[in-house]
Amino acid sequence: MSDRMARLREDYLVRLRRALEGVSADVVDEAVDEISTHIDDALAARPDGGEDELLDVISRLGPPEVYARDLGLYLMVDRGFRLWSVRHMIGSARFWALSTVAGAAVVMIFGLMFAFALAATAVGALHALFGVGIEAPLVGPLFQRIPAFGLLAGGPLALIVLTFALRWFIGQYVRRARPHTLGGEAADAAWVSDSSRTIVVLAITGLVIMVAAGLAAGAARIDGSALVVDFAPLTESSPPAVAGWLGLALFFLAPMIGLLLTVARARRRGLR
Amino acid sequence: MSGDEKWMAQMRRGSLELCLLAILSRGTRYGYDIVQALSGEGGLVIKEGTIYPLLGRLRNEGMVDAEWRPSPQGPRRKYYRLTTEGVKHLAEMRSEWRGFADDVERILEGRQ
Repeated sequence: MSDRMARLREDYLVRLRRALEGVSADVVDEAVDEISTHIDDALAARPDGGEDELLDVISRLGPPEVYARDLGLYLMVDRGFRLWSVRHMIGSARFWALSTVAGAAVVMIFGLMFAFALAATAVGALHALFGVGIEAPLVGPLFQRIPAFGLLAGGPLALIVLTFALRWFIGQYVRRARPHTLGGEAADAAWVSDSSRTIVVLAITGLVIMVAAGLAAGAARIDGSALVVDFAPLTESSPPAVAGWLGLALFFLAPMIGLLLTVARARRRGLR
Repeated sequence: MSGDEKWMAQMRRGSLELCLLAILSRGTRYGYDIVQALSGEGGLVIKEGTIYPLLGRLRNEGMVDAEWRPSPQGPRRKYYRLTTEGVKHLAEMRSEWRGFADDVERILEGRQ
């Protein structure tokens, strides 16, 4: 292979690496290895193997920007959720969050739930082992009602359940949201925008209900020039407090409900 | 792209997954080998790079398995094979495709 041909080949692979920005390094290497082997195999199969033929091989592969992000996401999801690599689970969630609005909303919601489960575990452990009190303003009123042993057992259990739920969710989403490069046409694009809209609308609705109910319950008020936040009223069983918790539940369940609603709607229309 | 070309592109994309699974049902293959087999069966792949995300998706769904192996010709290659789940899925797709093709053929020929 001449210097110019080697440069052409390298330029294509550099473009592929650039298009895979945000994907973990081992996944980028795997994708680049596979595509570079494809180029070498295709060139070896040509009788001449010259520069024109290399250009033809590259042209037949297509611009890396067209297929790299889908390829990167599938490889990350495969390692993260099929082979249970936590690093790739987090990486694929981050990559997905940066790619779509729905991805960002879902990752934020799951992130908060994971944070709550981790906080419950930590608070339960501190309380059980060292008798440390639960003073945190946000989680304190909620966690104080649960015995330390309950937090210690419930926290890790919630982490496991959440991991399985996220795995199921991403599996469903990846299977249904077929990218345009894989034959996804109008129906697939409609499915993606429908599910994204539903998830985001449900999450915002939950958030609005939660804030409005919190204000109505007196959990937040203006005292002089300062905003005072007091979560104690939300631990009582008044109608605004119940509405606030329902709003919180809607916010956290928005990805699941949104996905199930979209699947049900698509089935009614006979699409999937 | 003209209307005819768009229609053909959609036809190709729609049948690509079925053909890919059918090719893998005949044995283990690597990326370029799969593209060659698809090209030989009516030029189903428009841009060859798009075959790799499709293989990735089928792997996520458990239809296909893959492993890197050294090749006799030189560098190692990623070989793909159909899983038991993939064999079942292919049988279902094949049966649906035959029913669909029969219906279209019947309409085209004006049979009732």
